[in-house]
Amino acid sequence: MSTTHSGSPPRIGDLAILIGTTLGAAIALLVPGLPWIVEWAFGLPLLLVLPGYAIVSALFPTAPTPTLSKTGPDDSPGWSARVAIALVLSVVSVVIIGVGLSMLGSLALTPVVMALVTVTSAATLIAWIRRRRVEPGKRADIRSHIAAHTTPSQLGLSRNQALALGVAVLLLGAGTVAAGVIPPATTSYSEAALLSPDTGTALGMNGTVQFAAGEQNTVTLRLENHEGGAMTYGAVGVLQDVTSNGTVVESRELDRGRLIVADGETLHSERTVTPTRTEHRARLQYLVYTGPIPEDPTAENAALALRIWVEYDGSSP
Amino acid sequence: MSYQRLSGLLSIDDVDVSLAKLGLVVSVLLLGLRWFTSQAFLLVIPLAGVLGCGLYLVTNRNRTPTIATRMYEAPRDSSHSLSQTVAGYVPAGVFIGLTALVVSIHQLGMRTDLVYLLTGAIGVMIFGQLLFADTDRLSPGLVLVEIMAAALVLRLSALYATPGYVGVDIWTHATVFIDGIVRTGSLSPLAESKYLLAPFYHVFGAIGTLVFGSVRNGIYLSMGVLLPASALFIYATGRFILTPRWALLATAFYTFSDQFIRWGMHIIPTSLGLVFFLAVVYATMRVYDADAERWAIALLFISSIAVVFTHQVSTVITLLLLGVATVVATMMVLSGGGATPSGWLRKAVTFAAVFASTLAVTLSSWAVAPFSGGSRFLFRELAVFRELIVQNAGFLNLASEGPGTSMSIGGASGGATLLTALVPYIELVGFAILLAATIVGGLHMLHWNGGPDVTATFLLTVSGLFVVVFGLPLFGVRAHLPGRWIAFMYAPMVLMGALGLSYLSRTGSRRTVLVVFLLVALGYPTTMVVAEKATLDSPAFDDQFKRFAYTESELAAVDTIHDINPPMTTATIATDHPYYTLFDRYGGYGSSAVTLELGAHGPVGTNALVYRDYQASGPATFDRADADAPAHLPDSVESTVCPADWNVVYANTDAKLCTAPAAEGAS
Repeated sequence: MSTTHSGSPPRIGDLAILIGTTLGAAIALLVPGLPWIVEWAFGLPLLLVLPGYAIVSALFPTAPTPTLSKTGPDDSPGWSARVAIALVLSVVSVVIIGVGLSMLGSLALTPVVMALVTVTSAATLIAWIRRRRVEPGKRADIRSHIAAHTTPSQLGLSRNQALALGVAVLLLGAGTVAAGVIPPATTSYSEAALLSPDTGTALGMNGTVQFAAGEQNTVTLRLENHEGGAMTYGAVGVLQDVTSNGTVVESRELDRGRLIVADGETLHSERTVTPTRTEHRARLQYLVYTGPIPEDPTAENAALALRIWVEYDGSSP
Repeated sequence: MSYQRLSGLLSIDDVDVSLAKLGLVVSVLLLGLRWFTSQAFLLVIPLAGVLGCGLYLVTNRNRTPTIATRMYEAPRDSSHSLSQTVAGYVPAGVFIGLTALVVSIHQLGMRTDLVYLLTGAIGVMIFGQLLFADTDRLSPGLVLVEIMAAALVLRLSALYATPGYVGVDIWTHATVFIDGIVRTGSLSPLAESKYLLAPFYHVFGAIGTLVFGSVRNGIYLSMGVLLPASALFIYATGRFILTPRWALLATAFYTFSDQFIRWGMHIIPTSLGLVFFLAVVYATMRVYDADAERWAIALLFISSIAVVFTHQVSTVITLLLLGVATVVATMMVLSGGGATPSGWLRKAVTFAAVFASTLAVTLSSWAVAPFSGGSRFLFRELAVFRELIVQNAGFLNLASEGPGTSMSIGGASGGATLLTALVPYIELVGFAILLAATIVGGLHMLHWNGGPDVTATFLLTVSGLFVVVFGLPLFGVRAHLPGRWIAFMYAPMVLMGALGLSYLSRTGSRRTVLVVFLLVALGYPTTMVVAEKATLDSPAFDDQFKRFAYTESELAAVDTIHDINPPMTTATIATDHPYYTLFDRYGGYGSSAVTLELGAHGPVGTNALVYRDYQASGPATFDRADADAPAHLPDSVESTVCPADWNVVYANTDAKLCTAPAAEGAS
């Protein structure tokens, strides 16, 4: 319903779109189960554009009238200013509603959306009433402005140049949508930790780790998989006899195993080691491999290497 | 030198020329400060002064007061205009460049040198259109869309490629405050914070979270979109004094500036405060330009109050602008008000009323806003400033050369090569260009007929902010966080800069104009987008500037270490700066998370520390435990930070948790 003849029903094209989008936002955000892209497509304008544009439309029912000299009192702001003001007034509307609901302890999606729909609808109604009083050819309607300024001649472009521009804009849109839908490149990694089986916290945080020589001792090996697929980890537990200057005198393998962890999952594996007493300081190493365990497992060829100093019950080494 | 000759040189009738001459001399003298300190700004600012004043002096013979600059555009010399064909395809080139930017960041997972080259190229195309396209080939609406699209794509593509958040403070704002507000439905998470009386940012972020499903999306798709779009205010404000071409140039200057990019990446209350500030700038100009219409007064008032309830530093800056406008309008009234004395009275009353009410709201909210230690924000800040001025103030007491810097280890690496010596200056080229153009514009304002009100407001605001940003730190006063003021200072600067370039286009020789425009088109966007503050997520000069973003495995380390070494069970957890801030704000360790101290024999002062690979490859820093500690990190950073005799109880690809062994024989 749009016409420019004097005395005919007012043009409400952009206001109709405004109301339709506002109601669409309410549906998109409050009806459960809709795709996220629909929620975002309506949510973004609801927060940043719709309330402010409705208020601006209510404030300025006439189209901008640029003048050759300083702005006069009857001049209304241009379209770029109106869009900018609409952004700010949208934000102010949203935060005032939000602060009000927060003070009642009721900040939640439904009341926020209903309040924004109410504000936008009320302002749109005022805008429609005020526009009815304006001469049809002078009413504000951003669609007319856009349509009048996007022809190739208005853009200063030839037909081919306009075509190239159109293709480029479509490419950007497609590229943006694709980037949003296709998962981005992510780094893959694994995590490993040595935990106390009693507390579940990192081993040794509450003092030295004490082992009973010649008996079974338990540690928890925690593995977390972020490799993008299920992983079979190799785990090797090695007890090292280390001198005071850091020289490894002897290494004895105490534990070996293959541990399967699904992608995004965490595995806590209780590992049992039976250490024999060492001559010097003892250091327990756990080496984690994301592939086959090599013939000679060392910290240098492991994907992840953990280590902890241990003492033996009863006496120091 | 005789009085006659001196008065001839510094004629009050040609105050613009006199000031340009004086500025040239002062700038040359300021270069002497280089003998006392190596701060890059102390070279760049005087050089920009020399350039700006010098350009104005060589072109001033052709100057005339310009009537109705907003609609007047001088005929262009077509010899340095883009051809019809090239100009027509550049817009498509911009959008293709943006598409390539989106795809490359998505595929690479971060911003790389290729991405920065592409970003710079997009900027060059936009600036090229504005400076070299003929008027009949320049579609303001189309170029404005290009600028807005570039602003959005540049920021959002980088934000979404970066795991977690970019910056330091946002981790507290997002993961503690906004998340808390969403979970409780109230402002109770802010109860002990100054933001209880400035909740707009957090409430907006919380509502964004409710709409978009996560805090990250809630911030990025609300304020992350809003901030670059707010550059529209620069264009709208520019149209009061400039033709569309130059208003667009001001917008492009702003959009591609390092500090505006910064607040579009590190999205904290400063970002939203900047949006409202830009609205205040526009409303102020509107009040000047028209006769204080009610809607403009309302916009001025609403935006000013909105700043108060958003961010404290933004509030001080807004008060400064409102104060200047009040003084200027009052002076206009006292001087007779020209042709419209009643109009000026109304404007003066408007500005005074908005300033007074904003100030009243500010003082009353700050006086009750809670702050750390049970104090109130206003009184705590007054005490901090008093202490700073009494104890720390001193000429050339610069942060980069203060006692704190000698007690840190690590940082910029790469040795004393030519590139490392030039980096601080390379990234200030864009700032220097903008400053020089601003100086030209400011000098032109002293001679134009655009209105003494506009002239005085712009000159006083820019010079006042300049003193605060660059002058006070020379005396060791930095508690006001001068770095956060720069984006606000850029708003009037870009408008004056565009005015300066429009002046040069009318008065400069063909060669001068061509050289200047090429310098701007090629030098400004390419250097601004790689500056330190514009690349917090992935520094272009990654061996010089710290990365304030984290990899997925570095983030995972914080999560897992929080689980296996809970905050309440550890005295301290230490690591490099800035990584320790993540443990503080996101990991929940609070003040238990500290910068690792390194002594002569390794780490001291903690039983738990985190090593990450970035400490060996990037300019992360540690604290020196004492004077015996090494002044530089050794080649083997890993074995220094996490010695072989320490435990490693957690490890992933990038990070590990190292704990101190108990003493031998101890149980």
